[in-house]
Amino acid sequence: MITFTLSRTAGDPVAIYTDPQMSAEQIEKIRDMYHFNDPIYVQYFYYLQGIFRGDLGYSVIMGIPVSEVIIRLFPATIELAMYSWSLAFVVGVILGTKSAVGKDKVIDHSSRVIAITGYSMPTFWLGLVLLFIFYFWFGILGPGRLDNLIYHTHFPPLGSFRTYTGLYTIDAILNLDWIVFFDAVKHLILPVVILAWGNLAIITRIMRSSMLEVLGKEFIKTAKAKGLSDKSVINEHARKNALIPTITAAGLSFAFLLSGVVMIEEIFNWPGLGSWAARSAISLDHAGILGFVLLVGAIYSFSNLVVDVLYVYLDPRIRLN
Amino acid sequence: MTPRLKELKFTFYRIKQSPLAVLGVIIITAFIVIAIFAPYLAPPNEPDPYLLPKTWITEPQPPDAQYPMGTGVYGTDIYYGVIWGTRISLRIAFTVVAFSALIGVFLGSIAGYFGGKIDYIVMRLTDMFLAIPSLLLAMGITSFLGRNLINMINALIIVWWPRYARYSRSEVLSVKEEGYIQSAKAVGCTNWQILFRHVLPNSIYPILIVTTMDLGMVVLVAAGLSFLGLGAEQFTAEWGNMISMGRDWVIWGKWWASFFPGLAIFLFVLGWNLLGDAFRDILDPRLRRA
Repeated sequence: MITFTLSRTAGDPVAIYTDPQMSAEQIEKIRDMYHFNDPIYVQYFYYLQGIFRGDLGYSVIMGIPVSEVIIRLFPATIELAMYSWSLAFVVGVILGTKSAVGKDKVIDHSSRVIAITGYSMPTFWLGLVLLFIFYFWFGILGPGRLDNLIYHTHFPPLGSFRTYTGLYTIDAILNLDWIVFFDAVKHLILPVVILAWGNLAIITRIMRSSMLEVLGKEFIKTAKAKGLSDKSVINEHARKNALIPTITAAGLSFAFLLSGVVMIEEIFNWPGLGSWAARSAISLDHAGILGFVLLVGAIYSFSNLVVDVLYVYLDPRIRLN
Repeated sequence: MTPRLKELKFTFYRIKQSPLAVLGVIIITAFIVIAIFAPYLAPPNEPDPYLLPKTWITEPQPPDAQYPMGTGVYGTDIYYGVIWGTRISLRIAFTVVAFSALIGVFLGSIAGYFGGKIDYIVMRLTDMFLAIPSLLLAMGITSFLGRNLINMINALIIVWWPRYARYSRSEVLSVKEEGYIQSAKAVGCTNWQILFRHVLPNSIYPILIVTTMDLGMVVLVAAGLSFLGLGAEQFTAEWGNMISMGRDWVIWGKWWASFFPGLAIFLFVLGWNLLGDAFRDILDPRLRRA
């Protein structure tokens, strides 16, 4: 609904599909094709219908339909998002647990500082700075997904690299092509780390507070009284229970991830959905922008749904109720 | 001494105790001072002080005596931009947060307090807006409104108020059931009186925390938008804008054009986040003196 309202606010919707030199007839034809002449509620109906059929309009800057853009650019962004999210989650859980266990000690304060700095840092700035340090000074870890040379020698038509998923790391393993694999990893390191750092904050904080809460509970004392070592108590009993709110937080951090992706992709010339969205926004490619916003909304709602379901599933109290 | 004043003094005491909070306050004060004394620190550029002064040298020049932070594209004085950018950033931060908080808290508390249809409408509305991450929604809205500082501020307000509505609604819902509200009703206070004199002041603490951190986050998002090209106009002394202008030269080794504005953003946001995070610990009623 939001995307529809937005699309109708910006002046004459036909403008982007037409050229001043087109004849009046052709303009009228386009108006009809897109139902711009019909009353507003009819337009909304066609809009919804279009979405369900997979028709999101035409992206002017790319020259192909929006849905096709999404399908094509999806793997690149997924690769980035997947690794960042996992990194953020793993490091967040570890840091969170350690901070809770060593409350108010060095580890607690330093992890808090790490988290807050990651959260306060403009991702695009950090990206630029790190690109400068690693690319200009040290000459490694450049922008893009692969080095040009490697790309042209390994991929068709010169090489015999077969693309299965579109994610270079996985495809490289499937192809047993280690050169491509290492190159892809090299190019992934910087963007993934930067993106993950921003997400760390929330995951660490929630993990820490939920660990603290769990550690104060009765059953922990029972376990310790039973004679279980501290380490196993923490790892087995406490952590599993503390993970539950953290998963919810991880789902929320998805939003941060999605916005971060746009910035990172812009800086690193990563050919994914994020940089496409940025370019659509600047060039006022309405269909593109709306398609992206719609996609993001869908992804985010879906991930929230998944998190909610997981929560119910994992928390035995709710399940058995 | 009235209880509320005592609480306030205690809050200040707790702030002084936390090193991170003190750091945050120092950073923020520094920025405010810079903003106030901007014309003295960097002579204003006529006719519009917020436009960066230009020369015709395209390549950024490294820092030297005349340009303490170097120049950016077209000889723009980076130091000047950072100083005057402080004013713009503070203005953006306070405007957006003030308006979205006013709208959000108002709508949220009515929804929570009166319930029923108003609640339903407000909830659906906020749901719609919260389904999309703030940066992306702001991107969408600004691209439709036009590339302009004021449009960006408006877009940010539109994006931000639902969060406040949500928070204040849940706070109001929990405060509503407290005993003193019932007593107020029994004494004969009208609904509006109860809302403003009893419910709101007691539900304000979490919102205060969020507001403080938002003052920083808003600038972060605004800088991001300007960086992408959706905010301030060309050559305006806004930090995100300046980063984008210097961006292409970074890989050629001319780092200062993007580094200093970005550093400014980072410190600014850091200051408010430190303060907000410290507030979170300080204002938590369960953690205050037993």
